[in-house]
Amino acid sequence: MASIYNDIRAALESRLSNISNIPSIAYENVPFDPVVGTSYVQSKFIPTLRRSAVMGSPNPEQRYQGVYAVTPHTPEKLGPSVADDLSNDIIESFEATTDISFTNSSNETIIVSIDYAERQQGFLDSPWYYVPINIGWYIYK
Amino acid sequence: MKIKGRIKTNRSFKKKIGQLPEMADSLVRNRLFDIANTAIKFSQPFVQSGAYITSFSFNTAAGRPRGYTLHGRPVADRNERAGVGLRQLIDDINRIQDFSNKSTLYLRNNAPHAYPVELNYRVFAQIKNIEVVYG
Repeated sequence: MASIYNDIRAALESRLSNISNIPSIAYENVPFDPVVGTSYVQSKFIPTLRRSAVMGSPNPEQRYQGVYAVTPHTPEKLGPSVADDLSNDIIESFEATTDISFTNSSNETIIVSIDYAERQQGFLDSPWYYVPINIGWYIYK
Repeated sequence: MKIKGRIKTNRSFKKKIGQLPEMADSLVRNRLFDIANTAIKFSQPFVQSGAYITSFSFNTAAGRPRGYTLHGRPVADRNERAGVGLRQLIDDINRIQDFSNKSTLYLRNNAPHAYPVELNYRVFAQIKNIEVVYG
């Protein structure tokens, strides 16, 4: 059931958009013009593996996993604290062992589990200062 | 009262024990080949000059990592550069003689633009994501 990717993406993106005080989100392949001086968050869904979870079954349950890459961009020359605070909020919302539930239009509910959420060092690329965050997710379906 | 036990080992068992270092070496080496393949596979779709994909290296603590700049390089053949990148990593692995005294191995990419590439394509993040479960 490869269409599960749509639901996984929706689950993760809706979790991100529901974080309080989250700035505008730049989703993949959606026109977005960042406004200089205003923070925004870039979101990218990266599946890595789809493997049978069991052996011997003709139609086995699959384990899907991947990375949800989230990158808060904050204006340069403001110091790291704005980006750090935003990163902390995102990591806390995707804390390890968190289960994220999502119900699609066919009334099917999936639960995406979070394996880890970690950030890297901040990086200056004028006019932005950004912090890459990698969220490892998985689901058995 | 004394109790004595005697365990007798046969030659086949001793031979198998003797093969353990070789088996461990082979397991580690194959795992590294998998990681090399994964790094190249995830990098291949966005090859332009080929500088990034040929800048991977496996190092123990010593040794200068590979790192090529993309400036001044023409657009490259994606498959050819991926082949070169993979060949280099395989050579790195084969150069390591004995894993038993190596506490750490590093997969590095020392291209000057490696960090912006990571931001956009998360190559190392994907490798790590797979290794968390299958490593």
